[in-house]
Amino acid sequence: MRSATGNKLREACLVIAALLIMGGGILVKSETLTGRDPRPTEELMYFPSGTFVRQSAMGQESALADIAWLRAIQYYGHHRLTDRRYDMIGHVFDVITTLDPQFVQAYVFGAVVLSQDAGKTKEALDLLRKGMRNNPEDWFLAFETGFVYYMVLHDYRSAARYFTLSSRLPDSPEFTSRFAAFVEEKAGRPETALELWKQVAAASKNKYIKEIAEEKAKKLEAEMAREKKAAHRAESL
Amino acid sequence: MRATTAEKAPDPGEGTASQDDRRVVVEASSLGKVFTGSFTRRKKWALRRLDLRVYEGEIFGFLGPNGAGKTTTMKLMLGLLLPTSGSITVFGMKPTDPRSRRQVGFLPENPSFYDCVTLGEFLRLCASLTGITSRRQVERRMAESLFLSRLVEEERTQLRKFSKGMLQRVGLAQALINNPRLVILDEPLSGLDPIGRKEFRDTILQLKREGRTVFFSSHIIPDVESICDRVGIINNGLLESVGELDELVPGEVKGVEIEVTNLREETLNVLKPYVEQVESIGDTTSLLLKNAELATLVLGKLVKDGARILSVTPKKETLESLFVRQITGRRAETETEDVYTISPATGDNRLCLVRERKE
Amino acid sequence: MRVVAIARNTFREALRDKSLYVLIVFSLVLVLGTRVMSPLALGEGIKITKDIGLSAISFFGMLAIIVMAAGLVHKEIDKRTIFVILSKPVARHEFIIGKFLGMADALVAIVIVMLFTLQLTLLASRAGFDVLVLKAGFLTYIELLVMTSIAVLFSSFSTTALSAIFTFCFYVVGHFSGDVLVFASRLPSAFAQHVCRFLYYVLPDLQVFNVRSMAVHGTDISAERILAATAYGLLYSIGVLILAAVLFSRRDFK
Repeated sequence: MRSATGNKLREACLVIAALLIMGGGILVKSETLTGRDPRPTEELMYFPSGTFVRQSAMGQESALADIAWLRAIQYYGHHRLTDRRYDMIGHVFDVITTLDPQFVQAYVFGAVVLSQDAGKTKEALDLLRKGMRNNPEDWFLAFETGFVYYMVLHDYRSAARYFTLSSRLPDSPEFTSRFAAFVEEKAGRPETALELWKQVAAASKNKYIKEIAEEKAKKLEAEMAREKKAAHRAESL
Repeated sequence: MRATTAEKAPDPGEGTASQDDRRVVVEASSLGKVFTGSFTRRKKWALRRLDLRVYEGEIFGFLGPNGAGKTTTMKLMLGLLLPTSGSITVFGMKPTDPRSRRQVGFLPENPSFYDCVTLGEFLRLCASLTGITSRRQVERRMAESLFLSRLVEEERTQLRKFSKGMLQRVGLAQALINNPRLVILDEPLSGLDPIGRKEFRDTILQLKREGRTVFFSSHIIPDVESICDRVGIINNGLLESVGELDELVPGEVKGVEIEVTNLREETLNVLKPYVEQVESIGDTTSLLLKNAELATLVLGKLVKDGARILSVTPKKETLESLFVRQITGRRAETETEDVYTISPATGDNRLCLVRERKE
Repeated sequence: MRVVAIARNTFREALRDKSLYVLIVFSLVLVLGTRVMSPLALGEGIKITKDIGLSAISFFGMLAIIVMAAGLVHKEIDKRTIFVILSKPVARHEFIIGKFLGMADALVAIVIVMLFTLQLTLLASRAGFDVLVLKAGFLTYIELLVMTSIAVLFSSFSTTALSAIFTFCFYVVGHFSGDVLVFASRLPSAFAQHVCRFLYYVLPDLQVFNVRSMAVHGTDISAERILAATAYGLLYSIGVLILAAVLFSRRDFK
């Protein structure tokens, strides 16, 4: 005759066995199925292609943009530490900004990564122009555009144009007009670049951009200090 | 369920002997209903040219095999179905008018209710739905209902915990909650044990005593026979016969059945003109005489010829025999072959007719 | 009276439905999850919390509608409780309206709980009290009302599964019905344009209620916008309910 506790013990053993089997299954799966894949893994798998992104969002565009933003950051972080190739980053930011056109930080961060890290300046400018189209009153986007022209393309004329535009937009801080004023005058001088980096670091609300800007400013300062030293030595000789 | 309804129905009619003087509560005229299958588009006439009157204060029994159209008729009375042809009025109003149901209570077959609702909440809901606006009145009706159906302790119990018998009581309680003049019951006695059936029959009689009209359907003949004033027999959507029970089934002796053994061939031939039917099982012969007066004559002859009389049974026309006759009589006319078997109803040895469709 | 009684009963049934609580808990976990993920968001943590919080109201509200409202009428037919209700002196349209109101009530409770939790989370994260989030939440509720009326419509003549599918389809289509209008202007034939325009007016334009992005980016949502959207939502729902009542009145209940 079976006792009640005997039954319960049997049931408990069966449940534990079942869990072990299921757990074992997961181990098998992870070992044999995901390792040693010669093809580079599709990391932005299931990321939308971009054609019907707004429609398939079903009204939850901002939330999906945020999810894509998180993935973009992961993508960037991962590649920064490994191969420094950011092939998909332009597409990702395009999707994010299509879903949420008012997501200013996405345009800025995307442009910084594209121009500074990925070397895709044209894509960066396209992204910024898209941002300005969708946010015509935002001074930071115009400022950032001017920044890219100055820093990467050394196109001081266009840089000045965008700095001027930025200074005319509502809520723009006064340094935008300062830059508009002396960028042509002091074009090519490292002091200007240093100023620009410092201002970006101060104005950006985005932690990562701040970090990059501060890093660059530090580097420039060190370089400038070295050059000064070298110049001094040359003079004293 | 014991009859514990205490209120009297409002405004009882003037009950006179003549049918025509009584108020008509339900009137169906050439009522027809067709169902079309949603996929097959096949039309099925559930009810054909039904002419029916239900008078105030009577108990009307609607008799018929399963699928005959009893429930369809009731649903047409309640506006749950819309007629395809003909017309029907309840208290002089069309069933689509909700006002026609102010004085009507309905107990569906195998009633089922909301799972997660308590009895009290359910009865309050039913009371509110009958048009009572004052909260106090609703509470009062609910309390009365609980008391009459003897379920006072179960007010806060969820309905899904109720047994079948209790659900039947709840069903009746909600049917009577608005003190209706017309009570419509769909197969109220099916599934009850013999005591339950007796109690329910008593309840129906009590409802009549209170001046209400009761219209109920059944396929169990003896139940109908025992309490109804008027009966309607329906089969395959057609009303075969309708009328007072005494008229349909007069109860006079119509014939005699004599069971004999040791019957000789010659005797049988002599008696043939007086005998309507002969049945032989083994060495027992069953003779059905045309009328009772011949019995003495036939019996004398049999005894004289040495046959042994086993039994002499007077045959009365019962509702059952009328039913079978009418139903099987129609059998040849219908396109589908229906097989009728007499099978015992649940619980006891009472007989009911079950139709098996062969298509 | 009768409509209120039916509404109250429907509300009670909804509240006693366990699946509702699963949805609410899920959405709360999601919102709290965004706070956990916030360090990974490079300073956009508050934005994400607001976005996900508001989206959850819309999306999980929609799931609640599919779970409950799609079967609202059909469940009663299936369980045969409808015979008990309709055999009382209740008009068919009273039943439909009562069912809708009961569901709308349940949704109010859900939306309020979700909004309240979102505001609490934002306050706890030192993001301050946000009126725009409330405004966006309110219009999301109107969006859910429209979807409820559609679910009631389908439920009045269709099975639970089918009406759930149809309601979901309307939800999807409703979010790009504005595109249908744009599409219309590009079509060659005038007839096709009229058809498209007709489709646009018949289908619900759910983007009208979608001010979630605006709220998160701090753009002010004007009172006129709210009033106009609410009026549209209520009128549309009333129209759908009238249709539902008509269809329901002609139904046979075998």
